[in-house]
Amino acid sequence: MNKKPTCEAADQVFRKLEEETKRRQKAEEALQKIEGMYLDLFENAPNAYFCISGQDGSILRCNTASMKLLGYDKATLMGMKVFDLYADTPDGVSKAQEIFNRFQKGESIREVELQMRHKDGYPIWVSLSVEPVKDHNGNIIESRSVVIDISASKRSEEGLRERVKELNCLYGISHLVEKQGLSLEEIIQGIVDLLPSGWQYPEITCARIIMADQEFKTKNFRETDWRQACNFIVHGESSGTVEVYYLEEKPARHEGPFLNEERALINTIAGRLARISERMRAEKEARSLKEKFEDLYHNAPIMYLSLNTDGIIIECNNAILDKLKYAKSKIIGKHMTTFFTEESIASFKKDFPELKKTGKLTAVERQLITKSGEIIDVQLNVSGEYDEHGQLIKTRASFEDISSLKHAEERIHSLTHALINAHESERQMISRELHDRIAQDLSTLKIAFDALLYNKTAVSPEENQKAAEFSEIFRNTIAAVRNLSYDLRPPLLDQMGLVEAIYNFCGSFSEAHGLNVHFNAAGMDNLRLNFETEINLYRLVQEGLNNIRKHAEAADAFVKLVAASPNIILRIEDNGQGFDVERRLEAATNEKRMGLRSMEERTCLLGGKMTVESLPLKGTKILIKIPQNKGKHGSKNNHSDR
Amino acid sequence: MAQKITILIVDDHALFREGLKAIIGRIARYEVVAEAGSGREALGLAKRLKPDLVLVDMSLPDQSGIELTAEMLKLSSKIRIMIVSMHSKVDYIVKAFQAGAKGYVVKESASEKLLQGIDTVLKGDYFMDTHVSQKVVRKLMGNQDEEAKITNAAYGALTPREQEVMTLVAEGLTTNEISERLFISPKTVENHRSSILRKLDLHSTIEVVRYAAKLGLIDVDLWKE
Repeated sequence: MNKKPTCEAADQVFRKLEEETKRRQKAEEALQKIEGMYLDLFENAPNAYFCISGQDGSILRCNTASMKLLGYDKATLMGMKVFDLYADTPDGVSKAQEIFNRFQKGESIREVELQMRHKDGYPIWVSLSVEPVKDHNGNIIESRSVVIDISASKRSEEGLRERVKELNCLYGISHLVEKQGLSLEEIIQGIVDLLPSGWQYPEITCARIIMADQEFKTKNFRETDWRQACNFIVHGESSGTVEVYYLEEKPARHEGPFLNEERALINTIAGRLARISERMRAEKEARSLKEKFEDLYHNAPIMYLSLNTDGIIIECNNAILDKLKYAKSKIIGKHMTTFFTEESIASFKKDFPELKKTGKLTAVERQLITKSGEIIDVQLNVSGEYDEHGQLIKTRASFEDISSLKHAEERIHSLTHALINAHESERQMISRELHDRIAQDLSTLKIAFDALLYNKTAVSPEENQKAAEFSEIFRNTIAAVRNLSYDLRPPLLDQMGLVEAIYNFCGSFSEAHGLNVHFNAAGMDNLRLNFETEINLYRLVQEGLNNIRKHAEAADAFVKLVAASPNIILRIEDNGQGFDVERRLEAATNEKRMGLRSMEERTCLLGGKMTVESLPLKGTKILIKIPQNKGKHGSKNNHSDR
Repeated sequence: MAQKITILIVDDHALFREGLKAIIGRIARYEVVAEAGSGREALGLAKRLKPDLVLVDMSLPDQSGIELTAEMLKLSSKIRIMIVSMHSKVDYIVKAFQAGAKGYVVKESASEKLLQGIDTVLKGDYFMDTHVSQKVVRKLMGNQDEEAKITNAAYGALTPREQEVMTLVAEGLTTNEISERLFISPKTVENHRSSILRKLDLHSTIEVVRYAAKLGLIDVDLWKE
């Protein structure tokens, strides 16, 4: 064992102490170094750091960032209590107090958002985290508080929220406008009610829209000093105003208390309102046009049916319901021809391909049948409606009741025919009277007169001479009366038949008027025509030639009479100056010049058809076609057989 | 003295009968044995009295003088009948002669012509008042020519059906079309067609058309050329 252990042990202890001291010094140096780094970190951190007294909330330490954040210098800050730094809002002081209480209880607080207040008074949104620092006994002595300035993100969040509000407001408006069945008034009221929701403080916002002379307001409306407004303009003139008011004073923003975006929003809404009012006006006009159209359609005196391309009825008006006496439901969905007579259906089938192709049918005469079976004569017009590709989509059929016209026409015809017949029978009556009575009586007188002086010795030659003269006068008078009687009826008609009578008439007409009348007939000899037919054919030739003489200035006239079973054809033609047929017929009616009309009526009386063709400077052609076997009251007039 | 000629006067005008009687009375051998105002009465008298001559008015209340003439002659073909009438129409005159009358005098000429007429008729000749005879002759003479000028006898020979077919042929319809139109077989149409060509002495459709245009059956419209 070693004789000097104590010295060596002390030396050893000393060395150990010395090492210990060195190590400690080193550690202290390191610690100081770390502390310096910490302080530097603390002081120059980008976020605000505070150390708050756990006792009363007074600020123990703070860094540069915190001074920057709040606008105070360090000395001022160090003297303040932490509560002085919070804004006077629900997210400010009271929340801070609450957090402080939690901190005092030793709770760690992570990222709570609240509002501090800048030295200049405006609020600053921050995110606050607090870590309590305890002594060895576990008492809380202070906090490590980190404050992060989130006002920028808060602002954009707020901005976003505002945008969302504005958008919702606009969406609401679009929604309203598109909603069916709302009146303009209801839409505008809806918009007014939506307006506050688009503003920053909906609960204290009211709005008003003035449009034309109408005013729309929110329930809470009141005029205040805080107003944002925009006029809206339609067709270059102001047609209204939209206004938003705050009911309370609010911090000044871009335009009074209103945001820049709110200005944009109100302008947008004003634009929207302008378009709405424009659209509404157009719709109103369209509606009134439609109403007018429907009124016209439904209450027109003319019957209308609207048809699809297959001829099925899709709409009809009142006039046709009145006429047909059907309920509307019995008409819609039926084919148009359901209400046609058989004959009209047959005609319609002929019309249909053309109608389908052109969508048009003009002035055709058809017959409709009413519910009670009554037949109505109508004039039918069909016109088509086309889509933008020119495709026929539907047609409208209009029916004009022409039955009274028809009746009137028939009546005129029958009256005219009665007149022609009356005229003819009057002539015959006079002719008969002249022939059978007057000429007869004159003959009796003559024979008696002649007998009177016969063989009378006392009669002087002068008296005899006189008597002979009287007798001659008698004879001539009787012959004249008889000729007159024959002239009233076509001479020779009974004696030699129609052809001879017309031939004779043409001959004397040529002589009397210097017009060359060329007549030929064919196949007429075998016909047994009744007197009515003969006399009217004769009169037609008479009237035809008289017309030519009066108007045509022709050199030649041609009369052709041909039996063309089952008809008789009569042609009366000339090479004169011609005329405009339609105008002539019209003028003839107006001027009561009956030449052509009378011929037409006679033709019609015989159940025939007359066509007139004329060409200026070429002449005129009249074609008359009558049936041979006209079964109508055609008894041969036989007075001359007596 | 020879036996008297017995005469019956038929006329519904009593005064006119008086006149006739007075004229006849001028000739002693003529005797008016009876007068009648109607055909019926006249027939009864004629049956009973068997007159040599009857003067008949054309217009009688119950029948025409022409009918009466025919009936008289049925009683006895020896009765001579002369018409004394108001009428001067040629076809009545012709009809009267066709019915068997031997003479025709218009009433206003009776004073002058009656006796001459009776004479002629009794001799067995026909008598016609010059007043009407000229007319009749003129008509009869002229008729042939005029008839030819104004009517077409050949066409007149066509039956109604042939007329119908001819019109359709001239209008340009084919045999089949005509057959459909008239509801007859094409064969029948062809038969009609050849009959028409034969009767009218035509040889082609062109000729038919030209012929039809001339007659006026169709209009060949030169205006539209």
